[in-house]
Amino acid sequence: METNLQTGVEQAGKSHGSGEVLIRLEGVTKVFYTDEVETHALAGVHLDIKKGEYVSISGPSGCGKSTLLSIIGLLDSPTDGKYWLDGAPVESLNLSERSRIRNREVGFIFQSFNLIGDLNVYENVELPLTYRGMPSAERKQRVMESLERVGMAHRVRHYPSQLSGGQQQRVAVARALAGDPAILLADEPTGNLDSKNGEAVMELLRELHREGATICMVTHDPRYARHADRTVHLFDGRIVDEQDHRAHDEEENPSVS
Amino acid sequence: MSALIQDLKYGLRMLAKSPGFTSIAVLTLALGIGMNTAMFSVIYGVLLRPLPYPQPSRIVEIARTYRGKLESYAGMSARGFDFWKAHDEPFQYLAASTGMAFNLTGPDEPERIDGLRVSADYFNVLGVQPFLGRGFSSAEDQLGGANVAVLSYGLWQSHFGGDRHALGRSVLLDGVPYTIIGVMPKGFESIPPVALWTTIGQVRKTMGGGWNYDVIARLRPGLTPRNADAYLAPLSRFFFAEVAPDMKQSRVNSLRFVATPYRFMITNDIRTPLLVLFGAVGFLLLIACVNVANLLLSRTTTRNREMALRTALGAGRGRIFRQLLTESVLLSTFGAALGLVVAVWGLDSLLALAPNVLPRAQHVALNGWALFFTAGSAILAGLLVGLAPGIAASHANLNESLKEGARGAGLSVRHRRLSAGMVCAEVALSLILLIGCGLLVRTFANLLAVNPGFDPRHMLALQISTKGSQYSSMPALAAYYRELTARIEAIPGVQSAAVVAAGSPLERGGNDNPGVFVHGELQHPSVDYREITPGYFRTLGVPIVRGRPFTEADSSGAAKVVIVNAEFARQHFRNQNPVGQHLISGKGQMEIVGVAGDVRSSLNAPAPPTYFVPMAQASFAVDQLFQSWFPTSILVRTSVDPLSLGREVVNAVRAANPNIPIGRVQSMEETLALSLATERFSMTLMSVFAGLALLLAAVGLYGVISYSVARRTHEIGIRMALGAQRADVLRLIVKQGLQLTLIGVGIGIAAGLGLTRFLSSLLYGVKPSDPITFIAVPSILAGVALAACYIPARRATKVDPMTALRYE
Ligand SMILES: Nc1ncnc2c1ncn2[C@@H]1O[C@H](COP(=O)(O)OP(=O)(O)OP(=O)(O)O)[C@@H](O)[C@H]1O
Ligand SMILES: [Mg+2]
Repeated sequence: METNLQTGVEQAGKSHGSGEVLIRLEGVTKVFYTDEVETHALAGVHLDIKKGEYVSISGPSGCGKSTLLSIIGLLDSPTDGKYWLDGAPVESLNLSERSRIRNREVGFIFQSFNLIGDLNVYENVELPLTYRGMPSAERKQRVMESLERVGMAHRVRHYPSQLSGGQQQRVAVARALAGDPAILLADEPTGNLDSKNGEAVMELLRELHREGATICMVTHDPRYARHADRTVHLFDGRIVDEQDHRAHDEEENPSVS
Repeated sequence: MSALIQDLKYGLRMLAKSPGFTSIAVLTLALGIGMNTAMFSVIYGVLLRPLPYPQPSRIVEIARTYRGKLESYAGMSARGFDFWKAHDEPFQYLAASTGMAFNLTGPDEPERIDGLRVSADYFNVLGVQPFLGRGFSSAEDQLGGANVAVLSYGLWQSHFGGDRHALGRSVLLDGVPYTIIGVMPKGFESIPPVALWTTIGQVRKTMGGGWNYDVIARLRPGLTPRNADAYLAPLSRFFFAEVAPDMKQSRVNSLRFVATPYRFMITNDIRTPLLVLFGAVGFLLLIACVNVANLLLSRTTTRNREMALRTALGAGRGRIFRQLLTESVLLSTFGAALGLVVAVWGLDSLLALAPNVLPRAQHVALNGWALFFTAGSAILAGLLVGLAPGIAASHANLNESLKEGARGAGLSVRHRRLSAGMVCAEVALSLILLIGCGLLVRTFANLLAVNPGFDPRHMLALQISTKGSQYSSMPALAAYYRELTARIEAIPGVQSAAVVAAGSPLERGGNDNPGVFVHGELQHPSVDYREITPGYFRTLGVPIVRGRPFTEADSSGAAKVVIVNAEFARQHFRNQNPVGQHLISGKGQMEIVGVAGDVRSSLNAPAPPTYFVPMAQASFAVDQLFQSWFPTSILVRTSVDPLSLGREVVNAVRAANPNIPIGRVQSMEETLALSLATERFSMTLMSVFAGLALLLAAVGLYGVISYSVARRTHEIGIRMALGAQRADVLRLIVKQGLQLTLIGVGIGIAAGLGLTRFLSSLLYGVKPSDPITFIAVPSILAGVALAACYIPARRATKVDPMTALRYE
C-alpha cells in the first residue's frame, strides 16, 4: 500500500501550494435510489485536503455532509467522480483492501460515539489494532498512550454505559488515534455533548491538529467550525462556499502552524 | 378475575401481533407435548393400566428374586405349584396356567388356535366367571379328569353362532373331544388372550415336569404384596428342599419367592425400553420448552420498553410476571391442542411400528388419562416457558431498560446470559438423546452384523402342527415329512426342504437335560433340543464340522444317534472329539455321530448348546409336548424370492395331507426382522426423538445467534468501519455459537456418561460409554451447530456499515 500511495503522488500532483494533497475529490457525486426516489446526496464535489490540514464541513441538514465524510472514509463509494487518497485512486480497491485502509489510514469519530457496549474502554480502543494483527504488547502501549492523551487512562476497565457522554467521546477519540491514522474524520463529534464537554473534545482535536494531524470534521456550530483552518460550505450536495480562517486566526491563535 | 380476562385479552393480542413467532412456538410445543402424549398413552396402556379384572391390584404372580433382583420369567413346575397350594395363607385363590396351542378340527379346515391350560381356581383368581355355564371343578383338573373346555366369547360366536346349546357339545382339540362347559363373557381376556381354556391337571406328568407353569394368586382382602412376600420368603428354603432337592445350596440361598403384581410381571421385557423412551421424549419436551422460552425471552426484551413503561406507569412486578406467564400458558395451551393432533398421528405411527413388541397394545389409546397428562404437561410447559422471561422481565432494571430501550439494543447482559445458558442446556439435552440414539443404532448395526449361523436369504419357513392328526407315531410322522419334503422339492425354484420340530432357527425352542459324561462324571446340563429330518443342515447351509449328518438310514429301528452343535461340544466336551461319545436319555444311550455349526435362536445371544435327534428316532410324547409350545417348521431353501413360492409350497403341504393346519408362512428374512422388532422399535423411536431434538437445538442455536446478529448489527457496523474484514466478522459470530455449543457438549457428555447406563440392558456389543459414539455424536452435533451459526454469521458479514451506523 505504501508504495502505491507514493507512486500516486506524482499523478495527483501538489496543486495546493504548501503541503502534499492527502485527499483529492473530483466531480464526486452520490445518488441514493430508494423506492423509485433518487436522492442526489452529492452533486459534483471538488475538494482537496492537504496533509496536516484541519477542514470543517458545514451546511444545512440533509445537504450531504455525512455522505461526503463516509466517502472520504471509504465507508461508501461515490456514484461518479474520482477520489485519490494519498495519490492513489480509490475506485479500484476491493472490499478487503478498503477495510484495510479504513483500519490503518482512517480514524472515525462519530456524533453518537459508537463505542461497543460489550467491550470495556481498553478493548474498545484496542479493537482497530487487533484487526491489524498487531502484537499485544505493542497494542497495549498504543492503547495506553492514546487513552492518556485523552485523559481516560484511569477508566480502562469501565464499560461505555458507565461513562458520561463526554468521557465516551474522549474514548472514541482515543480509539481513532490509537491506530495513528493518516486522517481523522469526525461527524458532528460534539452533537451529543453539552457545551462544556463539547468544548473539551474540540480542544482535544485542536491539540491533535497542532501536533500535525489531518482532520476533517462536520459541524453545525460556527464556533467550532472556526477552530479549523478552513470551512467548506455544502448546500444540496455542492460546495457553495469556502472560508479560510487562518488569516483571522493568526491574531487569536498565533501558534497554529 | 377481570384482571385475568384483561391479561388473557392482552396476551391473545400480543400473540396475534406476531404470527410468525406464535406459530413457531405453538408448533414446537405441539411437537413436544404431542410426542409426550403419544408416548404416555403407550406407557399407560402397556405398563400402568390396571388389569381388566375386579380389584386387579390383588392379583399377584409368584415370582423369584435372585440376589434381590427380580427374575423376568417366573416358571413353576407342577410340584412347585403343589407346594404353594399347601402354603397359600396370604391368598384367597391360587392358580396355575400354561399357554398351549391346539389343533381345532371340525367341519371346516383344521385350525391352530391358542389355548390356555389352567387350574380349577384360575377364573376365581381373575375374579371373572363364565357368563354361560360354569368354570372348572377340581375333579376335572387332575390326571384322568374329564376333558372339558371353556370357550371365549369370540370362539363361541364364530364356531357356534352364539348358540346357548353349545354347552354340553364338544370340540375336537388335537383330535380329542372336549366337552364345552362354559363361555366367558364378551370382552374377557386372559393373559395371554386365547380362544379357549381347559384344565392343567391332565398335563402334570408332561408339561408339569418342567418349569412351565405361571402361578398367580388373588391376595386375601386387605393384604398387600409386601405382606405376601413376608410369608413367602421364609418358605423359599423349604420349597427348594422339597421341589428341587438337587439344586446347589449356594443358588438356593440366593433365591427368594416374592408376590409380584401380575401387571408388573407381564411387562417385564418391554418396561426398560419404554421407560427409556419416555425419558427421551421428556427430554424432547424440555428442549421444546427451552426453545420457546428463549424465543419468548428475546421477544420479551425487545418489548423491554413496553415493560419498563408499564412499570413506570405503576404496574407491579407481579402483574408483569403474570402477564408473561399468561402469554406462555396461552402458547402452551394452543400447543397442547395442536399437540393432540400430533399425538393421534404419533400414536398411530408408534403402534404401527411395534406390531409384535407391545403387550396389551390393543388397549393403547388416547384416553382420559392421556388427556389429563396432556393438560398437565401443557401447564407445566407453559410455566417452564414463561418462567425465564417472566423472572427476567420482573427483575429488569427499569432505568437500564429505558436506557437500553432507547438505544434499541434489546437484551441486558443478564438476559443474554440466561438465553445463552438455555441454548447450552438445549445442546446438552439433545446431545444426550443423540448419544442414546447412537448407542442404539450401534447396537442394531451390531445385531444385523451378527452371523446367525446360516444364510437367511432365499429361505421360506412354514409352521404346521401335527398334534391330534392321523400320525400317531414318529415313524409315521417321519414318513409324512419325507413325502412332504419330496413334494416341496419338486417345485421349480426349490433347492431343498426339511422339517424341524421343537423350535426353528432364530426363535426360542425346547430344551432338555440329557446325561453327559464330563471327565467321567455324569451331568445333566440344560441344553436345547430339536428334532430334524435328514435334509435340515443341508437346507440351512449349516456345515457338519465333524462326523456325518443324519440319513434316512437313521430310522426308528436303527441305533440311536444324535448330532450336537459346536457350542455343545465346546461346553461339554472341551478338547475331546464328541463323535463316538454318548448322550444318555431315559431310554438309553445315543451315539453322537456329528458336530454341526451353531445356529442362533436370537441374534443377541450366542447359540445355545443344542442336540439334534433324527425325526424318526424322537419320542412321540416329547414331540407332541413340544408342539404345544413350538410349532413344527418346514424350511425351504429356494433359488428365487422365497415369498414368490409361498402359495405353491402351501399347496404342496395341502396335497400331502389336507388335514394338517398351516400356520404362519414367512421368509426367514422376515423372521430375522421380527426377532429384532424390539430393538428396531427402540432404535427408531430414539432416532426420531433425537433427530427432532437435534433439529430443535439447531433451531434454538440459530435463533439465538440470529437474534444476536440482529442485536449486534450496529456493533458489527462499527467493527467494519474500524476495518474488520469479513473473515473477522464471520469468526466473531461463529465463535460465539461454537462456545455455547462446546459448553453444551461438555455438559451433555458428562450427563450422558451418567445416564447411558440406564440403556445398558438394551445394548449389544457396545458399552454405555462407547468411545466411538461419544466422539462421533458430539462431532455431528458440532457440525450441525456450525451450520446453524454459519447462516446468521454470513448474514453478519453482509452488514453494510453505512446502513448499520445510520440506523443508529
Ligand atoms: N442510505 C441512504 N439511502 C437513501 N437516501 C440517503 C441515504 N443516506 C443519505 N441519504 C439522503 O442523502 C441526503 C444527504 O444525507 P446526509 O446524511 O449526508 O446529510 P447530512 O448533511 O449529514 O444531514 P444532517 O446534518 O442532518 O446529518 C439526505 O437527503 C438523505 O436523506
Ligand atoms: Mg449527518
